Amino acid sequence: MKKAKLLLLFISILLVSSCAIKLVSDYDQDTVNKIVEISKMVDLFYLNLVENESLERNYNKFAEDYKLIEVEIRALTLMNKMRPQNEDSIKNSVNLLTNWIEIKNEHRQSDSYDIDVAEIDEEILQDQLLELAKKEMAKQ
Amino acid sequence: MDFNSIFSDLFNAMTAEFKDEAPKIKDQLLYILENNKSIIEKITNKLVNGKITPEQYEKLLKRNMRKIEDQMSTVNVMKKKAIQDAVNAGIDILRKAMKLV
Repeated sequence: MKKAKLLLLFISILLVSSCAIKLVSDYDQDTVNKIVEISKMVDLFYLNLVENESLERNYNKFAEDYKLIEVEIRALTLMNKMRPQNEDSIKNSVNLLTNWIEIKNEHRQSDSYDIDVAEIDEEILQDQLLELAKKEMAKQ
Repeated sequence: MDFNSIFSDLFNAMTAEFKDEAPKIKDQLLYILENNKSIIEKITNKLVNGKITPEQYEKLLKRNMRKIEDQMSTVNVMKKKAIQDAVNAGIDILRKAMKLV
């Protein structure tokens, strides 16, 4: 009985205040554009990596690209953080950033990048970007 | 190597992690794990064939687990949006009904 009264009160407040409930942030086209942009950069990064022979895949050759992509992922994370009710997308972009930094650090430490590892890494990163895009599309 | 047994262990480990929430998310967890079968098989085959080291294997699995977490949270967003739309549609109907009175 008490619960029913509380529910009635809640609905009345919503009706009187004429506000809708909001559980997820609004769809944002700029975020989708940024995700597509990062996906293209990651794709290009791995295409360049695969083109090089094993001995030529040293870290310095790719250091600049690592930085450029990291900056873009950080910008995407900020864009997600700026929007209220957006925790799932924030966590997704933080997970993407964590994976990217981990890959960069491993490449820097070993000064090499095995093609067998790179092939899986690219698949994982692109899947994470796809999940970010799917989240955004679900908000429409 | 018995992948079905590996997946069964993985599913049990993950549902144990989610504890009380496990029965509610069992179906989506199974669906996402099914979608990840091919990549986990690929990573495991690379280990078995000596193309990657056990250390690299663990790192790749860890990165893939982060992706699985992202896939789970996409389902979460879809559910939240469906609830949001349903509740707001209900509020709209009630509001219109009140105006009619």
